[in-house]
Amino acid sequence: MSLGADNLSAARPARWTVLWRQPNFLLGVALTATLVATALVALVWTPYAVDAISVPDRLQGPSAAHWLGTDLLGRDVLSRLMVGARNSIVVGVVAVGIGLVFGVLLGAIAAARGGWIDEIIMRGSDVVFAFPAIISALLITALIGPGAVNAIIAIGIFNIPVFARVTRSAARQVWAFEYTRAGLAIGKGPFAVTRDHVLPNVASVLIVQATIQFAIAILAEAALAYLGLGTQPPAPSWGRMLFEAQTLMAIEPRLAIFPGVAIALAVLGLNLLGDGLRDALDPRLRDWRAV
Amino acid sequence: MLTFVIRRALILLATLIIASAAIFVVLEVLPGDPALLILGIEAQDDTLAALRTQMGLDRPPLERYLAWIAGMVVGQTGVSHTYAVSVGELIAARLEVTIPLALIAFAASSLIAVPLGMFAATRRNRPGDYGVMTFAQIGMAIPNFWFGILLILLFAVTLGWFPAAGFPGWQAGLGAGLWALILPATALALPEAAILARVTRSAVLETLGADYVRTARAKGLAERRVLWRHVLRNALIPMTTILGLQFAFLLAGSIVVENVFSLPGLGRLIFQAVSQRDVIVVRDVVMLLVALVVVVNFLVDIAYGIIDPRPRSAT
Repeated sequence: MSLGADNLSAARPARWTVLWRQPNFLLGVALTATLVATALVALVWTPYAVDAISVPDRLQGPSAAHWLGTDLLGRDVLSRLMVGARNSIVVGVVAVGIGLVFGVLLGAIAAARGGWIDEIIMRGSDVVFAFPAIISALLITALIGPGAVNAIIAIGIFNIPVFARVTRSAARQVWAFEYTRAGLAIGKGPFAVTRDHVLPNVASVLIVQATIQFAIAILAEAALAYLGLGTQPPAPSWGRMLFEAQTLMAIEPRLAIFPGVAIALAVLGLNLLGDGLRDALDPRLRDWRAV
Repeated sequence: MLTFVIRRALILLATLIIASAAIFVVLEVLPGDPALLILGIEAQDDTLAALRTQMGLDRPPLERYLAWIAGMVVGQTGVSHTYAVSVGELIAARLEVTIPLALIAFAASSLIAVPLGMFAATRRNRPGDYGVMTFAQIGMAIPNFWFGILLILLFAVTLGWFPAAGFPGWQAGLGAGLWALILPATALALPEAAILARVTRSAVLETLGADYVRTARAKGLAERRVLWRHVLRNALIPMTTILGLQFAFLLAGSIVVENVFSLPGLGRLIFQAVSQRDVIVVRDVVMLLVALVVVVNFLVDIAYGIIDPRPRSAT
């Protein structure tokens, strides 16, 4: 039960070979690659302009002209889904980035210093952890109004204690090894030891956690946008598209299907990717999601 | 054990105090004068001043914070300006919906997930296991509000078996009330069940390899008895932590799902209070939700300490 560097690197090639034969992992890679590719394509091209309103064409079913049909205002559903993918990725990257930067910093300090500093950081993260992302988002919205940026901040804040805890517990295991003590003994400071020895060894755990938090961020953003607390219309977002579809459910149920499928596929892809990476990089963590 | 409980209780208290201070400070810097919001921008200066005095807005922040905390401890809550009733009454009425909703969802997800997880663990790497784990992956990927919309589409719009939205109130009869909660509880339960099934599976897999399980089998106990008696009971230890976490997610999830189904619960209350800038309601409901999360985690820690003595000294 160790997380030594030699231990991991020795086992790595074998595990990676096995990984590429896992159908679940391959499906995860394929879905995530599709998500990223769609978002990149949407940067330069969508079949129709995303806000092109064309009332005569409204509520059409799938056709050669509109592959996934049109919404109430005659806007092309496929184009809006593509830009929605871009929106989800931006939210996920920034929200996970906020969590990584602050969480890893706090977790690494807590592990390196121990004592009362550790205690304060961990109790502080308990407090933040008591606010689910939706509740932080509601508070922030009460404060500065709804919007995509506020949703990202709320999800990012929720991610900080997650990464702080994961970093701290993995870093403490690394600190128990002799090479960290040796680093201190040859006159390196705790900062240098953390940078040179601790962080490289906890990176694999953080990559796995980041993948899972990315999936959770996409779900949270969709929920916030659905409630009207995230991305504001007319900017397309998967969650908001579902809200608009719900009011038209009796006439045009099709509109309530595609954005949901897009969310589910994106989340499924990231979760499968995270599971595969976890099995390859750190088998001890299997099935324990810090949700 | 006593020191462990006292220590956790002190941490609980500190967490509640810091969380309440954070909520208070966040809402304190909120732009906008609650008195002005109530009376409208055409209000006379003296009526405005009178209302501010009546609401206690002219007192220093620290005094108002302490008054708020003291009021909550003795159950004396402020008055909502949009509903003109005390927040305590408002919350009590809304809990009649939210608590049954969360309980039904919690019971449903546990009743589905625990047997499924055990089934998968006992058929590790066989079709039954793959089937359950596929269900779990899909369940975790489907957002609860979209699942709610799909349920409305199928069971309310198309089949007409259930109401599409709303709650008749318990005075309409227990059956009618429960009937209206079935679809929302199902939407809430699916992602929880998916996560719980995975956790159950891995916890059961871990205990299946234990010596006492081999002993139980060796002495000729029926496999069913070994599973329920020896395996599940020990697997429950790691599962308590997850059950505590799930409670927080049920509360957060109910905010979204109540809005999908227009249920008059706590989630809808706080959502409406935010849109109407009803600061007093937002403050008290957020505090209540956070306190529930913290207290449940405290109880889980204590339960964990009772079931498994090892972490008592470790934390």
